[in-house]
Parts: sequence; C-alpha cells; structure tokens
Amino acid sequence: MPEPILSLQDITCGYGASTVLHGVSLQVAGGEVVGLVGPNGSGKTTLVRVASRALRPAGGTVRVGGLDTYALPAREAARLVAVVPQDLAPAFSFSVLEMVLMGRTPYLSSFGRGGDEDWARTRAAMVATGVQHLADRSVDELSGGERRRVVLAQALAQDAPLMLLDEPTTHLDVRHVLDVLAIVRRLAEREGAAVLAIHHDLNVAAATCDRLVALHRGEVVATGSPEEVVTADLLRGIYGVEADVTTDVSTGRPSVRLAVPSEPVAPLGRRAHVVGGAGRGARIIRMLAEAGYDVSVGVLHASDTDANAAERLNLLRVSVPPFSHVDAEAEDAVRPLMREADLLVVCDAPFGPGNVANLRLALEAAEAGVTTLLLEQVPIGERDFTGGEATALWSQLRRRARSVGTYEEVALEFR
Amino acid sequence: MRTTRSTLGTALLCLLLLAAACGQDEPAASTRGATASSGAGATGTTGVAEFPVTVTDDDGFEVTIPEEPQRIVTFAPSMTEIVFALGLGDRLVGVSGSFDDFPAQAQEIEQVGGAGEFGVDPNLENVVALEPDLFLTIAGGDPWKEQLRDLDIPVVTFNATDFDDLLDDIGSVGVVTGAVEGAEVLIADMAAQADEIAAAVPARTTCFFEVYFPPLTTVGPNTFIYDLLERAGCDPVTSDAASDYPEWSVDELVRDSPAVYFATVESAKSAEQIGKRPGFDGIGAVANGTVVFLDSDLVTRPGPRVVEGLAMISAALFTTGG
Amino acid sequence: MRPGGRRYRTVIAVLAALLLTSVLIAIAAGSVQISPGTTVRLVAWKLGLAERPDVPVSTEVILFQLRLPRVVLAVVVGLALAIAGTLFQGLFRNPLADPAIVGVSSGAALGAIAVIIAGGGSLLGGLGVSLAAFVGGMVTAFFVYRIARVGPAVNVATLLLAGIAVAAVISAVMSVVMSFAGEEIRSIYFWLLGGLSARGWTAVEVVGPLILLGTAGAVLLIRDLNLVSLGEERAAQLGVDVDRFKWQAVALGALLAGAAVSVSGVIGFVGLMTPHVMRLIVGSDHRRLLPAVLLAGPTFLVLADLVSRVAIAPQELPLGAVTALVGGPFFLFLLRRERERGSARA
Repeated sequence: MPEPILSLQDITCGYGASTVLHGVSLQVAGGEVVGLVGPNGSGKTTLVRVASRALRPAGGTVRVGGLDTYALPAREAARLVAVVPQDLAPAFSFSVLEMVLMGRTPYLSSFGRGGDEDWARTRAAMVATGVQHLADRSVDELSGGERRRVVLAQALAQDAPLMLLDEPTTHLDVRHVLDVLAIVRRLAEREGAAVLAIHHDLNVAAATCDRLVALHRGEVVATGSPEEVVTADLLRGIYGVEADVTTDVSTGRPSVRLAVPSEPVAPLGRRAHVVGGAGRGARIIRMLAEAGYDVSVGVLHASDTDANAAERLNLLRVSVPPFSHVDAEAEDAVRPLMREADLLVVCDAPFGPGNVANLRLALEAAEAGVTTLLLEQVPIGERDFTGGEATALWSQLRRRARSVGTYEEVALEFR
Repeated sequence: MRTTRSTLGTALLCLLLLAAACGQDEPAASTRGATASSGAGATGTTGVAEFPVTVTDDDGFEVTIPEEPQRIVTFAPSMTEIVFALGLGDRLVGVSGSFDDFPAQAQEIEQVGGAGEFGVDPNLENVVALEPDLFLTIAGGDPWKEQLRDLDIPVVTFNATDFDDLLDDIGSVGVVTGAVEGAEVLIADMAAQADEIAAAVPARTTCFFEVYFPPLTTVGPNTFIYDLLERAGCDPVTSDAASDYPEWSVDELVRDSPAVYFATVESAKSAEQIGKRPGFDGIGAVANGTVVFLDSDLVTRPGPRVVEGLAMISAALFTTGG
Repeated sequence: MRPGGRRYRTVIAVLAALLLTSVLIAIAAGSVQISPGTTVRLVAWKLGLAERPDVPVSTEVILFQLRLPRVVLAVVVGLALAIAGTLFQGLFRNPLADPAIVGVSSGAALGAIAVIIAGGGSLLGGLGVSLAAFVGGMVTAFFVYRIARVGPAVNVATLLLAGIAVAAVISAVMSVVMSFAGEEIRSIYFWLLGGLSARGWTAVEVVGPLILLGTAGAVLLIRDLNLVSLGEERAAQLGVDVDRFKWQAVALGALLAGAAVSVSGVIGFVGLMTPHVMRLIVGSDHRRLLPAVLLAGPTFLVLADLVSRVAIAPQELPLGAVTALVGGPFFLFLLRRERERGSARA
C-alpha cells in the first residue's frame, strides 16, 4: 500500500470559540480522486483549508508527501499542494498567460522570467485545460467557465502531487462540468496526483470519484466507494431528505433522485385500488395518494415501474416475481383489496397471459358493485397480448364501469 | 523589460549626476567663529564705523559684515523704519511687503516676502537676485535664515524686548550699517522724548490693552507693548499674566476695572462695537466710553516711531482724566 | 498592455521625456526671471561642457543653490510618495489607498514632531527626524491595517474611516505634544502644511539615500505585489510568504512616506493619484506599473511645485494646496467610480 500523498490525522480545528472539525482523519493516495461531501456547515471547506496550509489545526497532523506543510516555507509547500479555489477575484486584471504562469511561482526566483521548463509546463497546463487560444486575453473578459479553466490551469502549472478543489463544478454548465472533471481525472491517472474535491452535487461526486468521504457536523460519518457511501440512509441521516438511490445502469454508480417532499395530506378515509402495469398506473397512484386516498396496488410484477412507485410511496401492494403469472395466492391477496375499495381504477396497461387475471378480478369487483373507472388512453386492441381474452374482459368491464380518456378526467371523477 | 530598465537607470543616473555636479559647492559658511567682536550694542563707541565689524545678533549668531553695506534688505516694517530713520533709505533695495509703508518712499522698494507655507517667508530667489550685503530682520524663520547664511548673505536678527533694548538694537543697526553717528543721534533723541513723557506722568492709571478679539487677547509683562504702556504712565491690569499674549476673561476685566481701555483697528471697529460685545458693558471704561484707539503701527513696531506711540498713550491718559 | 510591448516602451519614453522637460522647466522658471538660454548655458558649464556665461553670481546662486536643490527634492519626494502609494494600494488591494489617507503621513509627522520637541532636531544631521518619522509612519500603518482587516479581506470603508480616525487621534495627540513646545511651534506647523521651500541641499542629502533605498526595495517586491493582488490566501497557495510580504510592504511604505514627510511635511494626493493614473495607462501589472510610477510621481510634484512657486510670485501657493486642488476632485471622482462599480474587493 503506497504511502498516501495526503494524510490528515485527527484534525481538530475551528474559528475562534467554535470547533468545526472534531478529530477528522482522511487519506488520499496518488492517482486517487476522493470526493468530500456533506451538508453546508459540515466542515468540508474548513478541512480543505487545513489541508492547503491556510488554517493551522488546533490538533492533529497534516502531511503531504510525508512532510508537515506547516513546518515548510510557503514556497516549498506550494510545490506540494495546489488549490483550485471556487473562483478567482483578481483585484487587477492580467492576461491568461500571465495568470497561468503565476502557477509557477514556487519555482521562479524573485525576478525570474521563467526558464524553458516553466514555459513548457505553463503551455502544457493551458493545453490540458483548453485555454491556449485565450493566452493574450484579459482574465476579466472571460466567461465563468473559461475563467474556471484558467484557474485550473494555474493550479496544474504548479505541478504539485496534491490537488485540492473547492466545488469545481458549481456555476458551470454541463459541458464545462464534464471538461473539468475529465481534466482532473487525467491528472490523477497520468501524473499520479492525489485529488481531493469538495462536491455539493452528490450525483457528480458519485459519478466521478474513486472514493467518497462524507462529513457531518465536523466528523467523518462515512468513507468508502460511492455505492457504499451514497445511500438513502445517509441522505436521510445527514441531509434530512428522502431520496431514491438507484444504480445507474450505464456507469454502475449510484444515482440519486430526490423525492420532492409532498405536504402531508389529510386522509380522506377512503380506499382506492389501482390495477396498473408497465408504468401506466404510476401517475394515477400518485394522484390518488395526494388526494388523500388510502391506495393499494396490484397485482404487479416485482420490478415493474408501478411497483417501484408504490414502494416509494409505501403503499400496500400485491406483487409476483417478474415474468411469472398471477397465481392463486396473489389472487386471494388482491381480491379483498378490490372488493373493499371505494374506488377501483383499471389503467390502460398491456395485458398478457401473466396478468390478465387482474382483469378477471376487476370484473368480479365491478359486478359486485365497486365503483370502477377504466382508463383508456390507448385502445384495448393495442394492449391485448392474450389473443382476445383481455379484449373480451375489457368490453364486459365497460358495461360495469365508467370509461375515461385522460388522466384529467380521472382526477375529476374523484374530486 | 530589459530595455526599459536600462533606459530608466540611465535617466536616474543622469539626474543624480546633475544633482551631484551642481550641489556640492558648499559655500564657505558665514563666519561663526571668534573674531574679536564688539558685541551687541556698541553704542558706546563714538566716531567712524570700522569695517569689518562682528556682532552677535539676538538669535545668538555672530555675524561679520566685511564692508559698509550698500544694498540692504529689511524683512520687517520696524527695520525698514529704522533704516530710513538712520538716513540710509537710498541703500535699501528690498523690503518684506505691503506693511513696509513708512515712510512713503518705502512703498517704492521691491517686496520680497510672501513665500513659504504661511506666506511670511522671504522669497529666497528674489532676495539673492537683489545681491544684498546685509539682511536685517526680526525673530522667526530659522530655516530660511540658515539658507541665507549658507549663501553668504549676512543675516542680522533683532528682537526688541523693551524700549531700552530697542535703543540698543538701533545702536547695533548703526554699527552694522556704518551709520554709528546717526544711530547715536536717534537714540539720544528717542531717549529724551521718552524721558519727557515719563516725567510728565502724574500718577499711574490702570489700563488694559486689547491685541485681538475674539478671543480677547492682551499683552503680558514681558512684551514690548507692555513696556511702552508702563513708560507712558499706565498700570496695566495684566501684570500677573503668565504668558506674553494671554487670553483674558471678560469677568476678570470687569473686576479689574481698568480706567482706560486701549484697542486698535485690528482688534475692533469702534468703541460702540466693543460695547456691544457680550459682558463688555460691565467694564467700567467701556461703559463710560473711555476707549482709546491707538495706531498699532506706533506701538507694535519696535522702531523710531514708538515715541509717538508713547505720546499717544500718554495723551490718552491725560484726556481721560487718569 | 503586453510585456515589453511597443506601446509600453513608448509610454515610458514619453514619461521620461516629460520628467526631464519638467525638471528643466522647473529649474529655468521661478520667481526671478532667468532666460532658458542662460539656464542651459549655466547647466552646461556646471557639467563641464561649456564656458561660464557672463551672468551675475547671484543668477548662478539662484539656479544651483536655491532652485536646483528644490527641484531635486521635488523629484525624490514625488518619487517617495508615489512609490509609497503604489505599495499601499497593492498591500490593501485597493486603489484608494495613499500614505496620507491611510494615516501614515500623520504618524510620520507625529514622529518627526516628537523628535523636534525633544530637541533632537539636528540629531544625525537631520537624519534623526527622518528615522523618527519612519517609525511613526510604520506604527500607524500597522495600526490602521489591523483595524481595517475583517478576516481575509480589507474593507474599503473601514480602511478609509480607520485612516481618518487615526489621523484625527494623531492630530489631537499632536496638539497636546505641541503645548509642550516652545519656539519650535512654527517649525512644527510647517510639517502639517507641507512644502519644499528653504530646504537646501542638506535635505536632499539626508533623505535622498533613504528614498532610493526604499525604491529599490519596492522594485524587489514587484512579483509579490502582483501575486497578492489575487488575494492573500491565493498568493499563499501559490507560494508567497504573505506575512513577510506585508511586513516588507508596510516597512518600505512607511520608510518612503516617513522620509518624504520628514523633509516636506504632509503632502497629499501624490501617492493616491500617481499609481492610479498610471494604472489606467499601463495596466495593473506591477512590472509595468512601477517604472511608470517612478517617472510620473516626480514629474507631478515638480510641476506642482513649479506652479506653487510662479503662480503668484514672489508669493508662494502652499504645495499641499496645489496637489489638493488637483487631487481632491480627482479623489472624489475615483470614489464615485468605485461606488458605481460596487463593493470592496478582497
């Protein structure tokens, strides 16, 4: 296990009387991109300032490349640690070339104009960030994204084994976010640099970092791979939000979808049952739940979209394994739900041999007197995969139920 | 950058060389050494002035005048008057400014004052251009006096503290200008007149002399004007003043109740105006109109006309039934 | 303006020519009329290039004993004030800083006054006064800086208020100190008004080396000045020893301002205007700015002193009044522009 380039051990520090960090330890190895996440006020910025030699910790050690940076003169420390701040606010304007060249300060003498090495590194940094065509432009004329890349180039020119980034993607549009992160990734992979970046956007952090460290109230509450750290529990625990964490199909990384917190609804005391499938019922389910109904769903296949929606809303559901048939057990489970519902909604889902039983059960309930709505945005003819049985059942349902053509009409029915 | 730096460096170097080349002729310092001097107030010696003379002026500098001065500059109206009184008016080439108004011929002479941060210093260029061989002035202005001395111009400072000192000073002016006889005559004349006035004083009259208002400023016992007041028969109520130009409180003045209240046009416009000042109607002299305006030129310029000032004061005391 | 660009070289050449011309005009012009031709011939003679022209000795004296030292003094004092202004503007990262506004000039004056009253006026041939002015200026500069700092930023409004407040306090202290003064009162008032009359060559000899030293130091700080303009924390991240830089900048600024004040009293606006105007012409890079300021500062003061000498000759206008008449309105204009741009920049 190679010696980590950045080693923070037991860092305790704060401002004035208040302590912000309580014994935080964190390591970053060469070639690793570590993301630092956590809610506002959790101490992320403070921790990075400690690592960048801007804030001396009250307790603990800071080592970069094995050396205590606080014991080094600023010049030598700057050869070890490069910081990419959120933005540069230069009091006076310089050209892009001059700005990037400033990154070579730790290597230049007082009057030095820079040797070949310095110019080469400056050029390389500008090419890597794609700003070489802006060399003579004044920095304050640039757009936000361009300026961010110049700042990054300045840090790249420092040639330091440790790079610290403070919210590198905030205020950038999508294109630039990708650019910046790609540059950082290349830096880690090709030069073996250790990278620690503060991220506010969990999805970006999860997608781009090798490892995540989550801070909460000045303590490390989770550290590990993105999948390990970004969980619904963590989100609930430190951010206080309800979220849906799924694994992104293409990248294998966790993806966070925040649940928009809905206002608590006064229950109507009425029950509704939705027969859905293939996502046709999700909206109805939500509408009914928001209207205050006690909603049940079924019979669905386990990984069906409607099943997920029901799970998220924590609704009563009857499901069977994917691609299997609605069996007698399921039928027995769902029958009372249908019979006792004040409202039964049958959505225009596709019906095949596996779930055509739902229509049969619905017909039973309708004949027993349950108020039934049929949603028919798509004609049954296009949804019948049973060779006609579904169509026949549907026609019979029509005689017992109200047909509606749109979601809005459904809403009108039960308002 | 290299080009710029070398251009810059050369320019700076040239400037410094210029300065160095021009600056370092330290002129021979005025003699401050020990030449056998006759000291200040060599009025005792009769007869012809002998040059060179060395005097110690009232600033403490020993000044040597090599030859009888032909181009004199005075930097105080009092000095101007003295020089004219000694009959040397045609040797006067420079005066301080518009205050050098007596005698009338003085107003024709070139004025060299108005320089410096307060506008009360001589313009050294103009002074040098006049090529003076004697510079007579009163106390104050050490920096420019030092400059003049560095330029080999003899600066002689007089600071008359009282009437007797004034007579001494006139004698010294006679010595440095070569008009020793004329000085002796003037001194004798002035002394006689002063004695006459002093002799005619029947009894002391309390008085108060206002230098300025507001704030009410008067004269303390060590001042020239105070001495004049006493010689003319006054008993100024400010005899216990701590400084030379103290502020005086109106209440105290009401208590002291001087018999005569002296003022000048520089301190007030008229007796009525004085009377209108708050609290002033409590002062006896002001209330009953015993306010006398003196010509300030006659009492503030330590020069030949102070005897007229004495006469004026004395007359005021008589007519107010002091 | 790009490094070493042709436009920059032209500007520098023009400034140098302007300085030289101003110096020559200032030497040639004055209360006493001396023709330019005579001036040139006399100067040539002094440089050993020509025969002595037939002019009275008094003309020679006026030129070389009165005018020349005064003009040279204007050059070095203008240089000192302008460079000090540049340093303070870089240190505070704000173009409204100036030795007088920041209170350094008042502190220097107090230092000078204290020494004069204590009787050390001629200590070390006048050097004692300059050093006391330096110490006074330095202490004041640190004080004002500490007050104006709020965390990592220097708030402009606080800076100006702190400078004014400190100057007011110093003024009060000076009144108290001066009540102990005897005859030195007049010399003391002259620090407050500021001027160059009647100083002579000794003044140049005393402060010249100090000012050249301070200027050399400022040149060495050029790179750090540039980096610190990005913000103190950023400069530190790039490897600048920021604390050491601040000490150096304050010390040099106080040295320059102190030397200037000790010989010419408090002259305002030169330190404010010169770097600011030059920045508008050559840009903010101190590698270009400093040489420009180095030439412009002396030019400004030489011309201001010339105006004060000849405008109402033989009387003189106070030099501080001339610089204020030009500088005051300019300062107000700057303030307005800053407000329109909005906010202090850290």
